[in-house]
Amino acid sequence: MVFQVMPFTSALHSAFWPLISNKKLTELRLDESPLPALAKYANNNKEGVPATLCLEWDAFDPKLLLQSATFLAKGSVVNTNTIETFKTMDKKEFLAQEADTLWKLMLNGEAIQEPSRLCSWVLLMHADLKKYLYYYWFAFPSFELPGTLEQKANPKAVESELRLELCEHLLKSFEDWKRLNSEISGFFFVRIEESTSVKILSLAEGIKPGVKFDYIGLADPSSMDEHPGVPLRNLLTLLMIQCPEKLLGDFKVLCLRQIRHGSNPIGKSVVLSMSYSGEKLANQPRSFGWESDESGRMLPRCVNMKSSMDPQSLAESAL
Amino acid sequence: KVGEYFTPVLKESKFHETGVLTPEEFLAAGDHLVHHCPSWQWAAGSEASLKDYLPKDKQFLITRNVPCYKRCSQMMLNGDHLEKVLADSEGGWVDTHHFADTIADQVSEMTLEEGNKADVKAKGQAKEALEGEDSDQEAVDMEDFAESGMLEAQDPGLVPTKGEKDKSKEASGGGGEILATRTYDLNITYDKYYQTPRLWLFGYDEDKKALSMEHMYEDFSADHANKTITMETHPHLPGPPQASVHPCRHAQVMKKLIDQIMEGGGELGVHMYLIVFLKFVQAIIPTIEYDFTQNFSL
Repeated sequence: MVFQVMPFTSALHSAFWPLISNKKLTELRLDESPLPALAKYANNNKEGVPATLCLEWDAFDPKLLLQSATFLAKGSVVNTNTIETFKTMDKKEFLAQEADTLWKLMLNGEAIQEPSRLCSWVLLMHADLKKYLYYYWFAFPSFELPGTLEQKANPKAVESELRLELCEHLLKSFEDWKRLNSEISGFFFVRIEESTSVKILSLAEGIKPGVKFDYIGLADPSSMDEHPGVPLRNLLTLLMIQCPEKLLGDFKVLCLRQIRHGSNPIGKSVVLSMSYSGEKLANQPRSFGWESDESGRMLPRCVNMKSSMDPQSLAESAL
Repeated sequence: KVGEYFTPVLKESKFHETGVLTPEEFLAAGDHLVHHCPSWQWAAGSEASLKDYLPKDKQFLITRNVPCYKRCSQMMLNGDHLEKVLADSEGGWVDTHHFADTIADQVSEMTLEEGNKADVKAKGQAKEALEGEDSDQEAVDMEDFAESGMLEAQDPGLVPTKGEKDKSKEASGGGGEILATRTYDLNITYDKYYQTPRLWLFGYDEDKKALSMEHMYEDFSADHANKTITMETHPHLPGPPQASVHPCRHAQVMKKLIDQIMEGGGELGVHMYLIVFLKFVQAIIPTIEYDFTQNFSL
């Protein structure tokens, strides 16, 4: 069956634009090199809402406070000086380079130590500071999965897989694990130790040879019963590079969604049954990532912040 | 602002007398809300705006990506007669809660097909309105940015978004599509001057672009849109002014509810404040489906 994931939708808080404008004026000036930034996504999205990746007021704050059910995605902002650069830049080449960086992180294992880089993103933008116009295009680099990887059946509700009691233990273990981990990550492994105990393993622990687990886990931003969220693809790519032997044959993925269904605190989570018959992934697959615009076209977006940022407009509306 | 500066932090509880809160009580009520409705969480906000009367990591409450499927006008058409006005001297708070369930049902029954049509129509209207009103807002034609070969960049491994689906006119095989809906981020801050909680709203349209104030008005009950909702600087966040429900009458309403419950022989604990608060502000934003525990009834 076709394996399709729910994409991220970029969501920019209105506080982000003054933030980047200020940075441009005071720090970056004419510097166009990528600026590391932090975005957030959640795994408690209600049915029907898009899986958002938010850039907010704390996008450049390394000490930002993450709420529970919220996860970090490390990416970068590239702010071009002129609209021409923004327009004429070779977008395919730009994305290819981003994908290449991600591929290297997976290959050299840095992505295991810093899993929030697996949800990589880049915001290519140009700020017309005089007109309060912001042109931007988000990309979420990701690789095409090989045909040797298969989804065997429709995703199953977690309730038909794990008893309520185990679901509760799982959530508690996950929260405890998250609290103790300095590198907060939405990627992990799950081991059911006994009927009442669930152990969460970090990527680094679970990837080690000989370590057994029952589920590959991810904090899943998807809000669709039939599809997991897009971060799963990069996680699977990483595992096919680093430890393909652990995927060989059948394996299960737990898409953890911290949203209540009935009495189950993670009742909206789903379990995927998958199988892999390939080898260690050695060559970089085709990469994708540009976000389509409002009408599904491959175009950047533009936002006009005049009414809320221009002092004159603000003064008029305050009357 | 100046008034707030000179108002001392409320130290002693006056909740039962006047319906106001001390920061400690706000904290307790916030913890209670987070415990019962985990979609609400504490946030720290910008470091430059830390308020010393609240813990660093518990400055205000936040819930994100709350769906708002319908506009208020659509809802009022069929819900008008069901509204129950809470006994109040002037104006009155409208308790819309008891038909909120019906709306949820309608929404879940609403087929995607209908949803899309309505959405396209609403967007058309919104665009017209925008072009009409904001003539100073430059329309930017993004077609200029089209590039050859970018179509190959479309990722077959993704669930098609609404727009892509429209374009390909594919027959939908039931489900497997992302619903286009407005969403809101809501914040509850502690208002030092009014000594009550204060609700802030930040809306995104169907395409996750920030909603303008004019468009947000469509989601506020007509009785309140113009007088109760104001644009102000968020106490904890930098950036442009944000919409908020003005707190000048919160304490009064709360006091009224405390009295009502007392008359009924009950007692309203101060830790319940935010749950009750969220219930009564729902009259102002009836179509925004945020989380609060259902087991409390007036």
